[in-house]
Amino acid sequence: MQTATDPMQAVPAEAEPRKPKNSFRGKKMRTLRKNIAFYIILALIGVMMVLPTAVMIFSSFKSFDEYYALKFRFFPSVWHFDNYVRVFTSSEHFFTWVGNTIVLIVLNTVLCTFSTILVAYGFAKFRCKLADVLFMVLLCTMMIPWAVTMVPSFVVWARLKLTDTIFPLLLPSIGGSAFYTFMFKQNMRGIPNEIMEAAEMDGAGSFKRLWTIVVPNCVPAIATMVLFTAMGIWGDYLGPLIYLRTPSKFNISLGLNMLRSQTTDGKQDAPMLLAASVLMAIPSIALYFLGTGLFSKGISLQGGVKG
Amino acid sequence: MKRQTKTVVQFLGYVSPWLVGFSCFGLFPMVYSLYMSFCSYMMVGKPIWIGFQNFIDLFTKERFFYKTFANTFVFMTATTVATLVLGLLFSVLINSIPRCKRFFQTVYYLPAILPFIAGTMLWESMYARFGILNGILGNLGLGPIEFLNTNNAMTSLVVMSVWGGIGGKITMLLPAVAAVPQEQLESMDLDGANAWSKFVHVTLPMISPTLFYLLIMDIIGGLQAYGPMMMLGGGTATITATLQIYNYAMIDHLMGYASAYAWIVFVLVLIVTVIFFKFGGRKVYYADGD
Amino acid sequence: MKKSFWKIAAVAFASLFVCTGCGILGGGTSGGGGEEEDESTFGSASGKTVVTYYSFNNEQTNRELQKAVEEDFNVKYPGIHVDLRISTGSFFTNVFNDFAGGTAADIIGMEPGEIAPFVMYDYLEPLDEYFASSEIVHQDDIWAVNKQAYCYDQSTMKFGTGKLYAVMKDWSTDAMLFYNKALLSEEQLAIIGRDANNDGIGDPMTFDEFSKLAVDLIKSDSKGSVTQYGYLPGLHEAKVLAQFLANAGLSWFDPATGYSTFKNADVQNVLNMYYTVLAKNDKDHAPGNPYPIFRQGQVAMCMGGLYCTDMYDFDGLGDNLGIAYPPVKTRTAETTESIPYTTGCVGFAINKESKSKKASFRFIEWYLDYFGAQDARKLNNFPALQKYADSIMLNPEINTNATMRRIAACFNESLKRAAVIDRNLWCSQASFEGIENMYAGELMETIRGKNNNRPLSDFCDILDSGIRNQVDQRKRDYETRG
Repeated sequence: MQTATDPMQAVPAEAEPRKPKNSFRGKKMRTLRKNIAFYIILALIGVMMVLPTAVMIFSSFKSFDEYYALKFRFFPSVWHFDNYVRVFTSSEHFFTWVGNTIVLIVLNTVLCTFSTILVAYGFAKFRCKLADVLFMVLLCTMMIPWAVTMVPSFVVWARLKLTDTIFPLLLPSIGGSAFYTFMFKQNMRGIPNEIMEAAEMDGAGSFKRLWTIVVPNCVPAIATMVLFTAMGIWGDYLGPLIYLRTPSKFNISLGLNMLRSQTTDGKQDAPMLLAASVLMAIPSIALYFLGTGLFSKGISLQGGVKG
Repeated sequence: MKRQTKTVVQFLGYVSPWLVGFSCFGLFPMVYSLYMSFCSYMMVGKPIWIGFQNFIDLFTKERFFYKTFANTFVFMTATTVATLVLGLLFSVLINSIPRCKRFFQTVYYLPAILPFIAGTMLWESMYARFGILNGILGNLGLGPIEFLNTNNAMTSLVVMSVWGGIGGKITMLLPAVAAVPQEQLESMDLDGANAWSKFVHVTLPMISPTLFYLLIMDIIGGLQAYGPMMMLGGGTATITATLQIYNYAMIDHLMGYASAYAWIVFVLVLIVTVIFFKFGGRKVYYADGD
Repeated sequence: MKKSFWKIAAVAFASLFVCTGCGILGGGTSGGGGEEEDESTFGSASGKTVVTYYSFNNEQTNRELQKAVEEDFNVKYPGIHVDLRISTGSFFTNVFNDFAGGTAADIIGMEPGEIAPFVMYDYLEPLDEYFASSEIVHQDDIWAVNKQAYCYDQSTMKFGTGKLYAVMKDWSTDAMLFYNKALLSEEQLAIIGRDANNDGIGDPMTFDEFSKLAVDLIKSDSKGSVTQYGYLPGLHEAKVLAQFLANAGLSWFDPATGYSTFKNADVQNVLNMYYTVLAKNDKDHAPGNPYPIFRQGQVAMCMGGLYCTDMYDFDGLGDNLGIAYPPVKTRTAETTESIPYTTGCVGFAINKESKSKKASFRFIEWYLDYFGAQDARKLNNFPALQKYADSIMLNPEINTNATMRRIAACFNESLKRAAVIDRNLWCSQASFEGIENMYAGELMETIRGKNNNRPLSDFCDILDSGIRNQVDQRKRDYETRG
């Protein structure tokens, strides 16, 4: 064992051979320089990543004229908080949009998560040849281009007279999510079969085993799914765009899109729109921070079996 | 025997939500779409069989057919390469620094959290002729750049996508990079290997499953991109196949034609995916010899 | 055991699949027959007839209409409930989808340029008999151009004859050239203000005169940004382009085949003139709606409609507000009396499958009569009934603003000679507009010299092939359907 020598002290030559004075220091210096360089690079790029968002936030407090003024200023000269107030009064449907979106989120998340849990459980704990085949099919479904299903889906819903209702946006969640099914299956496989068999011998049915053993062990993954699914639906634009047409039925994304096309003198009310964007981003960010710790626990592509 | 049947029955029971969902919203639309692609259907009455006419028209008469695929490929390649390379680079950097890893990870992921429409409005106001970026350029005394004209539109859209896409890559690559066993790296240190060599021979193979997964997902997603083009425009410089399909289906209601177009995209995605699996699958190194 | 189980599973799966399919494909036909409409219930409060009217009004107009319905229509017909619907997105595509799904409204907003496929697929109820038996409005009370806009004869596939499938509710064309006298020099005023027949409307300039004026009147600042525009088109660019083509004796399509004429050299010349004017005026960076900045004195000339005086306050320019016929290619005795178009007209059509057709017509005749008078008072649009022009719009006691009366009188004159620009049976105006919108910006970039991506010949080629594609698809669909 080398003991660190104090370079300031002279040490008698007959002591244990020690490393030359400089290399220890040099290595530390090199590491330090390397770290500083990395920090600088990361910070610079980080600033570039954050800058658009920062500009958006600051611009949202500008007045209409200042935003369109020829000289660009980063910070608003006067902070117009009324831009944010105007977001709420921008349309008579505004709160309806928020309400619609919340309904969509709750229903979809519950349905999708519940479904995915069941399906993943099926794939994880009931191995048979059919299961392997169907799992390959499941994975392949992730490859079907959206365009292929978009056209006939629309036709079908139109023929069923259910466009402009919640059904096209809700029913597809019955199938769960292929991505999260995969993830849950990985997790559930990590639960040792012995425990499952022991419970079975105690008389617990498969359903009961699901909810008493499997689910509690998968809570991080499930929570991740819930949060990210909710985040996705909050910002969902391209899905409802096809089906919803009456302004009062829009979700928040479509609603903001409708506001985009309102112009005075040919110019959008950009500060108000940016304020709306900021407001819309806040729940997403909140959900992200909730989920972020859980995500790294839930996903495990590199490692093998857990627990 | 009996147990196996019971297993299958139970399996089917649990998997039934997916079966129903997949049949109704996956398999059935696919088959119907295939049928429609051989028909003429304009939302009036019933589809009418016309054989291969839609496909022939697409390949011969559709003015921007090849251009849409070219645009799609360009967009997909540019965004995939940029996000993966930059994502990997930043993951390695973040992994190497002693502190504040979480902080940087969050900062880089923030753009990805923005909801689609919010991000769109942000970049719309950045790229507009009298928007933020041109305002800054004006302050610096430089002339305005038209970010969304024919020459610049594709670059602008790629920048926007990469900005939003890097965070997601880092989120997945960082744990992977962090999981590379330290001993292996250190043993290479003793052999006197430099950082690049360590990276290529140890880190890269160990994270290759994740990289491969991200690559495939990006390729499949990139080939179907249409969101940024739809919102920010760009005309023929940026129109992608999926956007054109959307236009034909939802605006011109030429359902049969659009379905044919969509199936061509599907076949393309399949071919590209198969190529990547064949080519890349062998290069992926699975630590547990899977 | 195993084998038979697999068989059962496969059969179950397949039948689930097939059932879903059949259920959906078969369920497309609209629901069963309805009860006969009972006219006697219209006037009583217990009547429960519902009429849905789907229009592209904006929210404010809809609110005013709702108010009028409550104040007057429901007093006359308490038994009819009117449901005013608006939505966003592509209006006519939505209507098509509604028809396909069987959920189309009872009354549908309709434009002359869009009506062709609806009548060809027999979606609309002919209105002749309703007007004949109406006690409030007859067809002759409406401007003659209504027949051109909305009559169609399937056997000859021609407009202007045959049954009436929709009726105009007002005429809000962007067909006249407004100009701001304060921005023009003496010589320029002499050119644009020439008025041989002294009807208060400037005679049409030639294309040469117009394009020179449109460029001479542009003023820019030191950085090259335009501060004063010479000319901007109205809200609907492609319709204005169609007007210019008509004023050159041409059309954007060949009526016999439906294919476009954009490969024709004469047509290309007109396009060249038109788009050069727009490009030099920096059209794609100018705000989308030119009317507010015209009002502020930053635009010398723009195409507009009567509604501009009310909605965009053009009358605030007072005597400086000039009005002229749109330019023609060459000036002759005929073209001096240039004919404006009415594709800016908006109308009502009744869904053939509606269960409340009579009630719907009651609403329509009420609208023409009562709400039309309200509109006339505001000088927002030209209402469908001719009598309101003299009795309300040009009546100094009701309309006290002299400038608005002057402009209204000009539109009144032009309406008497109005005609509808030919409709393409196989490619709607909106489809044409869609293609034009998409590539016009690139064309203008090239004209301005920024790049060489989209020369005019290429643009014409795109328009031609896009329209050809549409026409082929629709023709084939129509002919196969039999």
